[in-house]
Amino acid sequence: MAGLADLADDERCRILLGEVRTGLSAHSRALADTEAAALLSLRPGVGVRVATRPAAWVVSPDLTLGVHCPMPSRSGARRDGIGTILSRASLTGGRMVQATVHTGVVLGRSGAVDRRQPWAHHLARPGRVEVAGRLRADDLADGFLAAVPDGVPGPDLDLGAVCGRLLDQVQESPLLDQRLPFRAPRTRFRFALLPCDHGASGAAHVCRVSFVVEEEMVRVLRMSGSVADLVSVVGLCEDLALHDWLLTTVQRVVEGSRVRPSGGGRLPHQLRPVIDHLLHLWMPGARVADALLPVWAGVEQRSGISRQWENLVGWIRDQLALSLLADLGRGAG
Amino acid sequence: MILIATSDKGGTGRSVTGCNIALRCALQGSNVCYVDFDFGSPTAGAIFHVESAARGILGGQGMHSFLAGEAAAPVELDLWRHMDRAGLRPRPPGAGRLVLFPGDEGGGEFPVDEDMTDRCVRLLRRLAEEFDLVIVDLSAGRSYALQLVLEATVRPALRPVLARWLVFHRWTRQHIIAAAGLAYGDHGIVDTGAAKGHDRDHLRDSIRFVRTAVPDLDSEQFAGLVPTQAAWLQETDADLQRLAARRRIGRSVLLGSIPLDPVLQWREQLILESDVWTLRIANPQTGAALDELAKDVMDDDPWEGL
Repeated sequence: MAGLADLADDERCRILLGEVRTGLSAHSRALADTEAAALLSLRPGVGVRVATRPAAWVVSPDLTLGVHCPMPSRSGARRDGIGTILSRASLTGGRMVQATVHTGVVLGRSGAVDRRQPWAHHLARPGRVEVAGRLRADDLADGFLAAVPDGVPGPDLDLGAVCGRLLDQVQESPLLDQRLPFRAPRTRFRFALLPCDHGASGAAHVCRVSFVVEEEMVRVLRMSGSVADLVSVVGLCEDLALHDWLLTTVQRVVEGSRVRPSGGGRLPHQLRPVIDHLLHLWMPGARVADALLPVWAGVEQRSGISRQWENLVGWIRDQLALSLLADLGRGAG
Repeated sequence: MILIATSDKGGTGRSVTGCNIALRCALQGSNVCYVDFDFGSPTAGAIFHVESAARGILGGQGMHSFLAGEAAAPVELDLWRHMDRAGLRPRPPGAGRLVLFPGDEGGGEFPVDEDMTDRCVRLLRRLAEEFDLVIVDLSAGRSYALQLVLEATVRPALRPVLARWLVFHRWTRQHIIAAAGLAYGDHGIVDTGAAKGHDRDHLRDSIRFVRTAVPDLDSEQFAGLVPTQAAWLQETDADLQRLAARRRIGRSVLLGSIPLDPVLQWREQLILESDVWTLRIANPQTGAALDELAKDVMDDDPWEGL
């Protein structure tokens, strides 16, 4: 009987909320896998996961945090959520550091009498928040995804604050020397997966994807679909956030050097660290589950981030070639 | 790099000069943030032409509330979207980020505790990761804010981060004595820092001075003086130079001098190229001095050990 009840619960847990923050690791050089593993051993006794192909990727064990607070909503409906959220940190290419926080949300049934469950109930379901009272999925997602003006956190469930805190914790580790080759702003990538209107067709699918670059550093991804394995969606979001950060960061550096005269064909000095540390890290879709690759393709088609990236890399290589020619010319003269 | 701006007395133009340095560095392409640690009178918003934060912000999400543990994260204002001044919106091409962390309206001084230091370390380290230049504007004098920053910068997470100190003072006898006292005197920066575990020599070497409201005796302003006045001014200036040298705040540790300029004094706001060249209300020397200061703040040479 209990098993059946759980199954019914799982059926209803089709909303996923989360946030990824991405930045440059606070170290003078790329970390080796062993160093990265030590950095991300955030839970004693639980190992980190390491992958070396196609790019070095190390991810910490999941951390569980209990929450009991009002859920966000656009309508202002204040419904309490109780449960746990999961967070993890990862390092890609020894250089790009990410913190991710996510949770599945189970909405209360209308008419059902909500009964406060003991914590053991919630601890047995990591990464799931149960909402007491009626709240529509759209209302919840709209409230969660709404741009927070100027980073002012509200009293509601604030995954961003947890995310920022975890990234800080990793970045201030004594294993990092704090001598960054250049400064790069962190991006905040907020995402939500809502149940699909078309009903469950059995196979995992995602329809209706919208990706918006909101403020300078805030991105919002909203998806509808039905995916049994919510963690695979988190993986997709991490991958998108990673490449969006890479593109944003290189773009900023290139913009800065384009408006300044480079003088005699010399390579603008700002480009050097980008070439050293970032250009080789572009590997879109490397860790995205097959069922979700169409989402990548869809975002790609509309915002064209790979085309933009190729364009940027081409420009940087041209600058490199020009500076080489200029040097040769000076040598001959 | 973290640049800590302080002064012994009020009215030195510390904040207005600091904000102008921030703007100029950002215009030159650096990512800059300005953190208002002047808890008693957070005026950076007014200087940056942000009306909603003119005397700090309301709502308990400012720097003071964050450090006191009442807010999970402090408000950060993207100044390129908030500065209400023609020519500064939107972000000029090639400019870096420019972000203000405003104080709280009605905040005040408070004693420092361990948790507050932790929050301060975490914030400043994160900012040093994201920004080329982090300007921390302290209250005048031997404040709690000064204690807090000295305590924070000696912690392991911030120790590797380059921290530089700027002491602002006016070009008068009392101000020179006070500035030297704040840097090297009893309970001054070096003294307090050493007691908290800073290396005394290293800390002393990371302090530079900025003279403000300095009369430029060669400028047109003083062209109409009678000979006795001119002679007196020259002599007084020479006296002040000697006094500064005796107090160890002479030319070797001087980062810049900002000339006496009514626009800077009275408007207490940003000075733009248009103020100098189009409106012709600010003196070209003021603009040049601010540019020079912005360059020297980021440059390593003026900060070489003595």
